[in-house]
Amino acid sequence: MKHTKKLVALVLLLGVVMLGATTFAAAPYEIKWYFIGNGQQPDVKLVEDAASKYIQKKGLNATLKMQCYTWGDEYDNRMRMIIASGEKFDICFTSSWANLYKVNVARGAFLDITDLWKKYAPKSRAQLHPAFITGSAIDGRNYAIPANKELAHQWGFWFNKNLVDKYKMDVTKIKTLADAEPFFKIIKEKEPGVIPFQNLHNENAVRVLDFDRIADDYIPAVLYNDSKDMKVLNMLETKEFKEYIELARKYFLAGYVPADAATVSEFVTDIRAGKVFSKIESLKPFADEERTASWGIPCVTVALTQPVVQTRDCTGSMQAISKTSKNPIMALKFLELFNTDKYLNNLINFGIEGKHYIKVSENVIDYPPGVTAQNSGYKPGTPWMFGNQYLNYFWKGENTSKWEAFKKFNESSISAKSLGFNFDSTPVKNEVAACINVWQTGVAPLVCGAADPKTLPDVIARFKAAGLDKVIAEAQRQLDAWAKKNKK
Amino acid sequence: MRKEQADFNRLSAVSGKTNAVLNIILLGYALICILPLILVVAVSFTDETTLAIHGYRFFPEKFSLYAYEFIFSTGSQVVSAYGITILVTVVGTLLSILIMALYAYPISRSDFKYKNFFTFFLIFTMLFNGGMVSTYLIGVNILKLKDSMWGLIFPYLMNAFWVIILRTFFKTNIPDSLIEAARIDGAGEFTIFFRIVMPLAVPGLATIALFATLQYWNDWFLAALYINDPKLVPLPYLLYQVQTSMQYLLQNSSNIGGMSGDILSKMPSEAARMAMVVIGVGPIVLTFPFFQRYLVKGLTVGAIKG
Amino acid sequence: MNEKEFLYPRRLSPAWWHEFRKNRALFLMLLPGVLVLLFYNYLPMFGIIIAFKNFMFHDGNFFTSLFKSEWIGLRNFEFLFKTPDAYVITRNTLLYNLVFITSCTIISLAFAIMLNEIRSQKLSRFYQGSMFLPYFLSWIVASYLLYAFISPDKGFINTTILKSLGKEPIAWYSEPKYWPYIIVLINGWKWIGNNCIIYLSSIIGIDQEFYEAARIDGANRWQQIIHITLPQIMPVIIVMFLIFVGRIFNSDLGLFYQVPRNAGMLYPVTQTIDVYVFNSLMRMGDIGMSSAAALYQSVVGFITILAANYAVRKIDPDSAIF
Repeated sequence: MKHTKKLVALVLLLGVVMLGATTFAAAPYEIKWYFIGNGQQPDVKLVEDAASKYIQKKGLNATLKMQCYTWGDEYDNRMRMIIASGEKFDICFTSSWANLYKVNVARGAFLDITDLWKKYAPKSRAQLHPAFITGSAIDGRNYAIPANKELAHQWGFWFNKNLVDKYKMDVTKIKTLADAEPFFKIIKEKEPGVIPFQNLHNENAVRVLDFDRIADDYIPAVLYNDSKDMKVLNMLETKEFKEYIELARKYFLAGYVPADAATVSEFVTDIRAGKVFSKIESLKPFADEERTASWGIPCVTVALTQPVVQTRDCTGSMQAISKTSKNPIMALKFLELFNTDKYLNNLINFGIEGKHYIKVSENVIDYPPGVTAQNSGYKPGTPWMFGNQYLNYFWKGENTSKWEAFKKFNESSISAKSLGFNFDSTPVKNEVAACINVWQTGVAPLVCGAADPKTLPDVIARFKAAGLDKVIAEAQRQLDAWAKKNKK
Repeated sequence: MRKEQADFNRLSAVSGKTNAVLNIILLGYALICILPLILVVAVSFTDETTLAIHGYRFFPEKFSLYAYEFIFSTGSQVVSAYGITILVTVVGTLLSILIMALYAYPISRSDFKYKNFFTFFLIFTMLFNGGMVSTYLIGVNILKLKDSMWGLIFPYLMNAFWVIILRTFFKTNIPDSLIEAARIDGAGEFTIFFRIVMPLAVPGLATIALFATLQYWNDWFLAALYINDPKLVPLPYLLYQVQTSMQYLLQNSSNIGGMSGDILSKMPSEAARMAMVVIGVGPIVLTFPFFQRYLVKGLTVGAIKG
Repeated sequence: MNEKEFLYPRRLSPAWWHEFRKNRALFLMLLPGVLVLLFYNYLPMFGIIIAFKNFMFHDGNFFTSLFKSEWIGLRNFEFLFKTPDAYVITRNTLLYNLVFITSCTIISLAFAIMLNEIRSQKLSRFYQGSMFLPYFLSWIVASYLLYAFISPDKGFINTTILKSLGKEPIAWYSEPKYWPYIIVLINGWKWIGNNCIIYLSSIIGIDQEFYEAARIDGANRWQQIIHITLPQIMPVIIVMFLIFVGRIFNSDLGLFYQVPRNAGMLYPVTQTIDVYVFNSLMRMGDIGMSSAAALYQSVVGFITILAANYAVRKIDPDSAIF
């Protein structure tokens, strides 16, 4: 009798344990994903459910939970809190301009995926142009997966086509900033309410100089893209910069540039009202099409520089795995699927077919009847950010040869010599802080011509007093060490 | 009693000439304060393109409701945001006034041995702060403020500055003799507090209640820290989200590619900004007269004297 | 054995328990407030340590990360002093604050007294309400409104007023010399209504008997104001002053960053400590340094308020905060 009782108890116990184990094993892992976009969409739960079902079908025992924060401060502030407080999550968007990649890696927030990537998300890795991989590595290690999109950047003019046509301007002849002067003159004389050259301090023409700012966007420690001696220079002391600010000043005094260029940062309103003739824009294939769609003004673009790939371009849009993730392998597997699976990619980018979009042809989509950009329940505004743009559908009106053009664009670009180098500012962080401050207050008026170029020596002196030389020396030291390691 | 006051005023009021001068000065300053708000309202009802061309005008060049349409197009969220804000403001204000007055009273009593200690305890928090990260950690892990209404109420329950103001009001306006008399009559501290002190301190309480109401009503900071659930988003935060993303999209074109721009093309940015101010601030401006009723001379002084 | 000892036989109860029982109602009143402060303000104060460490994540747990991060002493504070702007930002912060406290107090007081004196209560309430309105508007909105006035090409002043006077338009955002006045005026516009209400409510609370007595003694209204109103509300004035002094190294980012639109050419007169910290650390995200800056401001404010309180205590012990 006693033995039977014991046996029954044992079997029961075993049964409970097995039940527990199976339920435990069967419970899907929740992948938590933070990213930037148009805010948490009303229909996001529908998309999450559809995505979860799909990835389970594909063999991943997981569910997806997405949280989107809006552009600008919100995403940065939120992520700062979330990461600083050690919250457990899996994936987050990071880049050189939001939820700063370098800063987070320096603080140890992201997981080192250099090896895991090769093992669990090999196709995501293989489909990227090699520059993406070297460019987003810090000290040779990778901490985030870049999105597969256009790689290089190129600077050029954006012209208001209405005005170009009106005065029959042949803008294709323009090869440098100075070439555009006669056109500015025409606009200034004939169109009093229009801004000939919108050279604001934040979207400034100084970018045409296309220096490689290897330390930080706000520090004038630069390299030439094709630098032969790998020597770090003070941008303010270069010949090109001095010439540029003379030109900017000339344009400013001639009234081609708005008088408040040094303080205003919002430029779109004036453009949309038709008050702007030209500005410097970042170009890529079919940029004119995109700008026309956003701003409502037909345009013509003229390139001024050739396509170049700098480290910054490789870190424009990435997904990082948090060190606090409980199952990073699952997260990586998910990203692999996301980057290579057409259905999943478009589901998360555009929503549910039939509800948020309808197919017009194989790869082209449009809004369903009654749905617009504003009332659509799912419009995160993030196709360029998510994974693999080459998989995306096209909205009706977009040029379908865009992806081929991107590929050609990427191939035709040259890589900056410093590609793959990431500056670690910790040894000189005090000087960096002081220098950033000088940039914010001193460089902005210079580059839009609001300040007299005669004040340049003062600004240089302020930078020196803030310790710029020390930063440049440190950057040089790190660059040399990196170059040696990579046999450049 | 009003008549008494009126009589009294007439006896020692200022002369007619001085009265006129004072009125002119005050009117002038009042106008300087009101006009900007009127401008804000005017701009919110102006058509966007005329704003870009002509700038701000007191009389809209072209009247347009589009800014409001745009903001309300998010529909149900605006309604729920108003609801949350109202609830949080009412509960928060009442609760914080109570807690702050209860704190201010003991430290206003000159015969309370520990008043200096507790005052210092209070002021220290005004001067030193553990930082946003550690506050967030405590808030989320220990106080469970995340995605909860408490997250919008709790942090502002004690405001050191206002407690000190209340304390000063209690001290100067409530004579010690009154309290002594009550004590001799056998009243306990709580009775004294609720029956004697509070009624006498109504102007002070009303002032602080006004400030507290404003703080709760206008706050987006707490939501930015603790709230994820769209159903719990208060109005200012909703507006803040619209505003910062709008601002960002207007200042940066190179970072953002692709068709997120088509939302941009329809944004009435300037008018919308002003419309958001009207939506956010409008209701509370209208409640101001309500508070003013309490900022009146000694409602119950006569009763005590009697 | 006296009566007391009969009623309360001597036990081993400690002195503090006795104190507690004596004042227990008052302690009970303090309790809710103390709990709030304890949990929301005092508990997180361990975060001050961040200022002295080079914060790095270790295990995805904030506490262990903080514990394991390297102690670097005062290194996080250096950027506040090593900059060539250290003198400018400190000077700006201090001077503006001093001007703010004096100008706001004097004008708010004057207005509060005026509001109390004018005959029509209705008008008084109207003025009061209007003065308070600017407080509702955020600094961002204020910066847009100011821009509408002083924008170099679209602003009201340049296009309308100066033009009609036949003068050249002024590049407002590039000329530092106007800005000290602009900032003081705008700060006043925002805060005077707010301060005024505080002073007004305290004036209202003054016992009318004082005025009765004075009037019987033959004092005119002006004398009544000087000898009764002002002294009676002096505690409030002093308290406001002391609290302000505790924040002498702080400044409002909205006023100094957003209103001048962070215009580079204006920095000699618009950059305060907070603006400098914000500008520098925006890109760096270094919580150690931002924590250090906050601590620096707190410590200075703390020392100042202690000193000021001590001085006040010597003159009128009742008015001191502690």
